[in-house]
Amino acid sequence: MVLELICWIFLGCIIGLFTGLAPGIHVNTIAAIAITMQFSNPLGASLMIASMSIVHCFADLIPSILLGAPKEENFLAALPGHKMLLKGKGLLAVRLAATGALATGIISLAFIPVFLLLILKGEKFFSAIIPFALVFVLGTMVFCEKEFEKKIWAIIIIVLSGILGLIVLGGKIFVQEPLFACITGFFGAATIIESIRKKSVLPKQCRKKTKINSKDALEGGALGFIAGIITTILPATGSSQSAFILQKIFGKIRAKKFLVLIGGSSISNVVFGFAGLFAWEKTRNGSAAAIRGLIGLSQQNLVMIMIACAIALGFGFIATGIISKLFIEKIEKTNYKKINLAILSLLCALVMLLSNGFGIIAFITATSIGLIAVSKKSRRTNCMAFLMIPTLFFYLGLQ
Amino acid sequence: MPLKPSWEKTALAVSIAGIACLFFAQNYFQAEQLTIGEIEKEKNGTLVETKGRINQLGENEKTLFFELFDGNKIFAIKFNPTTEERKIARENKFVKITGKKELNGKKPEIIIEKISLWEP
Repeated sequence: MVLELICWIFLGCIIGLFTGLAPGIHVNTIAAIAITMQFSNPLGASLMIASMSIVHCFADLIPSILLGAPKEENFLAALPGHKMLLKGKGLLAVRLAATGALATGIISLAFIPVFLLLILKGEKFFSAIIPFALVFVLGTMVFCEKEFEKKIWAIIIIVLSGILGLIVLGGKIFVQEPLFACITGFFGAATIIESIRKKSVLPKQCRKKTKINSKDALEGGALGFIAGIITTILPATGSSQSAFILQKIFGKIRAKKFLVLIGGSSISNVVFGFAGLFAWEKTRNGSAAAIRGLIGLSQQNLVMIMIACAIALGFGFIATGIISKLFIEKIEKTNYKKINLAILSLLCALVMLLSNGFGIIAFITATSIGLIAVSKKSRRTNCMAFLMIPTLFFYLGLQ
Repeated sequence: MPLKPSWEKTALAVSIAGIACLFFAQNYFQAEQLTIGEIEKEKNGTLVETKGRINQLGENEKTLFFELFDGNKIFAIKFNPTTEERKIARENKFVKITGKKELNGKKPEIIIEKISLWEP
């Protein structure tokens, strides 16, 4: 019986590697398929989904950082990660994010009772202050720009991104996979087009195992833990948005620590999603929804899920380190421009396949806005208004 | 490396044109009128319009939710309902709702955008 469950967990780990490495494939897609299937061992299937979700967060870092093909959970990792890649430090970027994922995963599992207590006591308070927090963050996005002209362009990008978000996320038209289409445009296609235009050359990547500052790892891990709490408390807030809000609240976070934070925030989102399911029977992600449909919400099952998550943390961290080295060896041997063109073509094909006509228009619009941000040297994170403004409208009761 | 001015203008024009296209599409996009049984076969995110009787009404500060019944039943939820909408949605009233079909776990539900009274 125990051996069978371990096999289910490792099966989930392998599937998670696949879903994480493949652009356009979301763990929620696999979870949604799982709901429709009949399993001989529902507990085993639940452990498979849990471990798959955790390993997916690790593996996802590789295409985001090394190929510039981000997904919804950690698209902000693509920006500092890509910069480090072009400085020959791509492997370090992946290690930082994976370290964050591991550190935050351990902290999250250890502090689940604290998380549950915070949620019970603080949910109403956090929900009340979030509109003010969002307005504050939007304001700092503009005022952080040093020159007057850049402030104007920041406002233009925020307004354009915000309107796009309001239309595709809350409007009447049916946009299939709106998040994927727009995030791919803002943070994927725009980055790759910039690389192609600049005729970027991938420098030789440093393979020296740089020691990661343990203070950065712990602080980033703790911030990832807090980001997970924010994501759980606030509907319409994803792991990358929480990381972004924390960056604004705590002031400038260095790129390395930010990568640790981003890596951690997606993991804590998954772990707390499972804890929240068992505590309040509410689902915040597709994996939790799939598990709810398979097994009873007992304490024993929660413990089993957490054990699966712990095993998957170790597997994901080790596998990411190995696969990222193999990836780097492959891409260093290939013409970087060809890689960029191939990735851009793949992203366009995925948008056309997964989305509909409106999604393609949204993708093109988001890419254009991302290119304006690049051209005007405005922070690309200003495009986050795409998610923040609809969230603000939701909390203000306007949507 | 900044884009050439012609590229910048093109990017700005494309982004505004894209937003305008999507904005005007909203006004011309009609919801599909379906029965509750037919809604279950639709894809997630499809805008639908349906009618039925309100059962098992519930509400709190931010939401209004109920089961809509026309022989089949479906869960419907309205976020941030107005006072007018709260008055319309009463137990056993017949209403017409427009909204997006989504899946909550395995069960379909409608995220309501508009609700109005309906005389059967």
